[in-house]
Amino acid sequence: MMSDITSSQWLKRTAATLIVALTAACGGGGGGGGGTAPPPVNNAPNVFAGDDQSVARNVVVTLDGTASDDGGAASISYTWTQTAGTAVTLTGADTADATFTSPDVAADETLQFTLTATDAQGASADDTVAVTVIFDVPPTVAVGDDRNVQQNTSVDLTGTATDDNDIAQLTYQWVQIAGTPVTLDNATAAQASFTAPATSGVQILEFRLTVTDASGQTSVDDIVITVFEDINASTVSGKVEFEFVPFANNALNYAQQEMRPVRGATIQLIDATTNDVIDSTTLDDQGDYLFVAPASTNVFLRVRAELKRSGSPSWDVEVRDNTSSTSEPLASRPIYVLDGVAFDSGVGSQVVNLQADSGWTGASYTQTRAAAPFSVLDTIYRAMQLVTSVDPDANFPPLDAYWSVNNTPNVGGNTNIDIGEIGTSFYRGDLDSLFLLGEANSDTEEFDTHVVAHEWGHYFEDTFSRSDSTGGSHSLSQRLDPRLAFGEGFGNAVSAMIMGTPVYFDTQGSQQSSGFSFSLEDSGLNSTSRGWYNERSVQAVLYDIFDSNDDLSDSVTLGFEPIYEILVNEQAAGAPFTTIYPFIESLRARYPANVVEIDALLDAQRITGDNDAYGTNEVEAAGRRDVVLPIYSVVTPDDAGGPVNVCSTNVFDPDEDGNKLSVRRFVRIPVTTAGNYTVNIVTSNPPASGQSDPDAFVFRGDFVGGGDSPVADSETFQLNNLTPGDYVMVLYEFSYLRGGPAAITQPDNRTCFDVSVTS
Amino acid sequence: MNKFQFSIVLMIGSGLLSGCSESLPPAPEQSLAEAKIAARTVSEASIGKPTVPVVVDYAFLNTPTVDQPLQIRMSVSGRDVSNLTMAMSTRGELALSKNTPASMPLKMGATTGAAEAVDTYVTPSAEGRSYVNVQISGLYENQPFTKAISIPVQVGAGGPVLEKNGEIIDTGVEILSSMPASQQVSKGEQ
Repeated sequence: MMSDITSSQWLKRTAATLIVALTAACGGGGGGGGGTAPPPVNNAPNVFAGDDQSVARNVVVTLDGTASDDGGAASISYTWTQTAGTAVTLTGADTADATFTSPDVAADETLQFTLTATDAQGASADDTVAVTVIFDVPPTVAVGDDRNVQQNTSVDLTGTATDDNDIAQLTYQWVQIAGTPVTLDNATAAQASFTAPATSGVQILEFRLTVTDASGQTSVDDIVITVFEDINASTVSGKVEFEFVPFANNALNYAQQEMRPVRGATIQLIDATTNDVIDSTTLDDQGDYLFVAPASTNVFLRVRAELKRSGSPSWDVEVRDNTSSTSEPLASRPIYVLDGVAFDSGVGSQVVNLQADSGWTGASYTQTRAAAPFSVLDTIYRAMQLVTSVDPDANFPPLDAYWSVNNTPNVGGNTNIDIGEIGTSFYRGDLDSLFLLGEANSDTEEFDTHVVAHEWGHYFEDTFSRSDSTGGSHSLSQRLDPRLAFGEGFGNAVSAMIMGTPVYFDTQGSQQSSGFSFSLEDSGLNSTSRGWYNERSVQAVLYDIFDSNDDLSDSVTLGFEPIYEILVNEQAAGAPFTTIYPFIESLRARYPANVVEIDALLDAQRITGDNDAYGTNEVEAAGRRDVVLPIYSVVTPDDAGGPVNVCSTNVFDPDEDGNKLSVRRFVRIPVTTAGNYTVNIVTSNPPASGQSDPDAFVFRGDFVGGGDSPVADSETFQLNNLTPGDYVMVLYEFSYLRGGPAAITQPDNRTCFDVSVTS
Repeated sequence: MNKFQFSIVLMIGSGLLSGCSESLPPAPEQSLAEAKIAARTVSEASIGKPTVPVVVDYAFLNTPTVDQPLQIRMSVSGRDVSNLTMAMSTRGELALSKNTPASMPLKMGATTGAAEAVDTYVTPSAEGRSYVNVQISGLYENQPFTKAISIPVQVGAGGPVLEKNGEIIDTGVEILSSMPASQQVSKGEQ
């Protein structure tokens, strides 16, 4: 635009245009003349480096050059060079339009650039342009201190700005950047306003003012407006954390204690004079909370070792002390709480941070172990997060975790929860409770996160799915009742899934400085005890299905969802006992494209993948096919073929735990006709001395019936109102169990029974 | 959920938890009927954590009496374990014999998986229930492990001295174990 150029620039541009026009006219006349034509005259290009400019600091500047030539524009080459001023880097210096970033000058400064245009014959011309960089300070802006306001009142937002240029050229823009949206009036003026929304308690709004000066420089400032239901109240906010002791080198590492947020727990604001609860809320995932408190009141904060949530998902978890107030029912024993000290709520805002200390003071626990219940709680919180990651609407049945500094790993077979003699950490399905060891310098679990997660896994299996586990003592290298193997293998695997690391650890001993650990990634492929009856085999299969780390036989990654879905559906509902086989059958059916990878995992553990929920095709017999296979003997009611022989053995159970492989044998009873049936069991190899005592129980998911009379060498019982479908029976020689009669001595350590079912 | 709804007292239900025995004073005898019930259990059974297959059997060779040394004979057996050592400490009104080493190796039988019996002496200083804490360390499947157990020692009447982990507060509605917090207070914006 003409108005954008100076008179001298207009003259320069006009002259160049005129020369081009004259040259073109002369050359054009030569084409039609006769005689010897004079050699064509090559004129240098006409070049224009653009108009002089004024620019701000630190902006991209374009040098807009043009040129023409009698040989045509295509024959022109361009070269931009800087001839004055702070050196800049030119981009596109060999084109008509070069760019650079204006330097961050301390005062106004003029840069000069020359554009040289050269035609194909080498004739050249140049032109110069000046770019003045203006030293311009961005505006300053202030919106004032954060403020508290009363609900339903008009609130002014006032910005003040300064600039080194004419402030009349400043522009303003208010925007809301947090909180319930409000309508801003005069959002493009220095002073805007809005109406504080109605609120219950307190609500946080945040606004930003952006001021821009004439050269485009901007500045911003933010303000937080806290809207109170009652402006005379104050706010109390802060964070709650607990000291966590990490695991390293088979021990708890007290030198590396770290702070972790208390997540999801209930926090209460309590009147310190009356002990009335003023308000209650839930800590968020950062451990943060906010209360509106009555002004100038003596209050204190209490954090309860509980997780409470209603709706979907929902949960109800409490951590209690089983060894205090023992005259109370277990569920009414003291719940752990973390209490702060009283303070004056004052006026305005108070920030109150609480910390639950581990109680470790260098060499031992000498102070209250306040972190412990919250560490237990946090592991359970993580566990529930794993579930809600695949089922956001999961509803968790109530769970109590009992932890006490007196909970000791006593031996002797007696459990007395009131005095802490719990023997080990365990889950009790009938009580919906975890019991966790807590005796320092012996065995305490609060920071043994995988142990807590393992026991929570039993709770999950029992309440979301179904557990037919026998319970009892178990080790990775043992051959177990396959129901126990599945339950424990799942517990180990899910502990690693919950904690996000495959290393299971359980510290024990003096100063928790040693213990027991293993990796879920160690599939035990050298173990002679691997198989469908081994918890390490089960955990290896489950964890490798879950994890994304391919190794050895593991080339599949399915995550937690299939495990969850199968456990809460097929595994929970089927007639077969909860061994690995119903899981395998369902997994292969749900993921046909992954059957080869799944079978590779199973094959590495000597488990036959191509199987039904009863493991009918299994061939792995732990060297004792006579007492191990088939996993289920089939006893068809009224079978003309006569009784079926089934053998119980104690060969894998030298300690008479009753939960090792083939102590309890399985029988499948396919019922085709509804009615009442009689189960007859007769010892087929009565011992030479002593007596056999067969006992048996029948299930279809739930308990159906059974018999455990002390009658020698036989057992008979009725099953009434059976309906068509499969029933399963567990059958064992009672003298093989601790507490039973003296163990009988049998050839090949087996006692066998003829089993029949008649209508 | 499979609920095998038999009524089981905790003492019985935990019978599967440990392979250990106590000879003096005698453990409450489990009747045959109780054992039958315990054997029935399925989902109600205590479902415990993984452990190392080490079993500690012990016997009191004399009756625990105040100010009288109590001889405890312990035998340790295990499978897939080696290089076992034993360390002991006490909780409650018990003192270990001054001759008790901080840690002692356990000599394992060649084939039985059982170690030679170890005798130790503790002296009760008061009636009540105290504990000998035993720590077995070694290798399990060639990996280091430690397994801790405690042996209850009952002297006369009375229970153990139980520690509190917080102040017990009865609000009238519920009972709390109140633990002190470390607290930081700062003034925010007015």
